[in-house]
Amino acid sequence: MSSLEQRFPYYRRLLRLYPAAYRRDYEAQILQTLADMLDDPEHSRAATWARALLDLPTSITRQQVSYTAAAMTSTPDYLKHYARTGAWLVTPFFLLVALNGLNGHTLRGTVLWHTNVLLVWLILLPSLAVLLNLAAWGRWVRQNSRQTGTSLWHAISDIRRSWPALAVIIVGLGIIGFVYGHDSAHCLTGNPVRELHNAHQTLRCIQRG
Amino acid sequence: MNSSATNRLPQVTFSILFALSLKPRHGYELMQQIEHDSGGKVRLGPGALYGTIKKLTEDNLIEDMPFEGDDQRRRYYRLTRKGWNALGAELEYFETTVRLARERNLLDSAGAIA
Repeated sequence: MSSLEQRFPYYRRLLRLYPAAYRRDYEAQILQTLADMLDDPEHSRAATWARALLDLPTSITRQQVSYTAAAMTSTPDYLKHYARTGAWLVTPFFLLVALNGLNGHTLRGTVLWHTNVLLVWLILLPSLAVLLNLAAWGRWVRQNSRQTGTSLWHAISDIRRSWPALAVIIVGLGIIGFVYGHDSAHCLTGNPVRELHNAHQTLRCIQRG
Repeated sequence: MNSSATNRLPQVTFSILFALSLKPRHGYELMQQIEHDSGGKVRLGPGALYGTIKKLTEDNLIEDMPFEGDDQRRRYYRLTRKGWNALGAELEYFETTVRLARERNLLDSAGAIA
């Protein structure tokens, strides 16, 4: 630890709120400048500390936003591609529920309510979106871990570059969970889970003769 | 619209380029010169200063110099050719504005209002 790091241990802890890459480039210089400010007899120590501390929140926020935006745009192309595909796959769910909501009726009487069609837009398409993006994300985590020589956990936590795939996974799982597990699904679509269950039971009865 | 009107430099950026036009400087020297040049109106903290320095370095308006002499702890910055051009364009804009303001007697009346 350098003498400057020893001199300002608490201020240095605050600097940890900056992105790591920014700290690597500028932490030593920021500490040196603070030391120069405090060593200048023309300025009071209290005023100097106030100036240095009040400056931090805005500066840290700016750098975090800047580095996050840069990382987000450096997402690998295949992750973006799968995320776009996933977004298209979950779009029918939102479109149909929105249309249904706007009409104020359930979809029960429409062609979309036949079991096979229902299975597709309600369950299969979101599931496909989740699976595709899980596979892409898993590939990216392995690659990222190998390339950077870091642990899997470190690669998993680097969500600033993998966010498109993660967003689709979360939305897709949200849809599936919503359809299966939440009573409000009934209000929106006429309880699709029960419909599917009933259709399955009917099919069994027919098969039994 | 004139291109120089659309490419106006932010205040802090201009202050840093202006301060570096005299000679290469390190962080604290820059802060002091900026404060002096602005009559104490622009007072930067270390966070804001290095945030802007990073941006100006990325935009290739300034560059850090190789270490020289005994002062190994401080990094010195200087203007690049692009930085000189940007500063020149900005000063030209100010010169035109001030000339027009004088022709219209705005400086005296603005002073009287203030």
